[in-house]
Amino acid sequence: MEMVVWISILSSALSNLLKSTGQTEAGELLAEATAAYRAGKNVDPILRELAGRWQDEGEPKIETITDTRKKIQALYD
Amino acid sequence: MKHLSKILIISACLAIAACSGTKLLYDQAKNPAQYAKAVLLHHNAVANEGAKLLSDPAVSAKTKEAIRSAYRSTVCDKSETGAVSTCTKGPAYVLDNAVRSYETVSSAKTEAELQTALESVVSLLTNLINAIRGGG
Repeated sequence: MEMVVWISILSSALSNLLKSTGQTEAGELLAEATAAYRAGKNVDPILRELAGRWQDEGEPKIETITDTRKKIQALYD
Repeated sequence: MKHLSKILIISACLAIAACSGTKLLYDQAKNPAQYAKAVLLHHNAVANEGAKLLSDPAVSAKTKEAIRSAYRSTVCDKSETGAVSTCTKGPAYVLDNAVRSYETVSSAKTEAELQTALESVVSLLTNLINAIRGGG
């Protein structure tokens, strides 16, 4: 089974344990973090920030987007 | 017909991550080049998160390979077989060039080129998101 799936299952089990021992808030936070990770929602705050910057500073330049991509590409080697 | 194509592309963009940040970003776009820029910004944001998973010891080698492969297909052309950092001809770059052409000479031809390039990147971006989710 995929490690990511295992993490999800373990986090879910830990979340239930925390809730059962009265630590509801911590359990809920962990459950939320796990769900967000699995759903790929972690980019949402970044997209919000990009949208805000677009609104404040105007349309992004294609050159800037390309330069950012080149920096990201280096992380994949 | 052109308008319909644009709507389909936007729907696909929103479907790949129906979150408020995605909607806010795509709401900024008012013309085809701006929609392309929103997709390219989205692509960079997703790729950056994917790169973080590559250095996460909790993520399996299989998932890391799926993420690497999915990202590579967005920035590298099939003729580019070297390191990912050296790629400059893949679909994301084709879309960059289409945006430049459209911004320089806005015509039916440049819009058609832009939409073709956009459809390709949206499809590959969906694959990358699926790989990051562990389903790739």
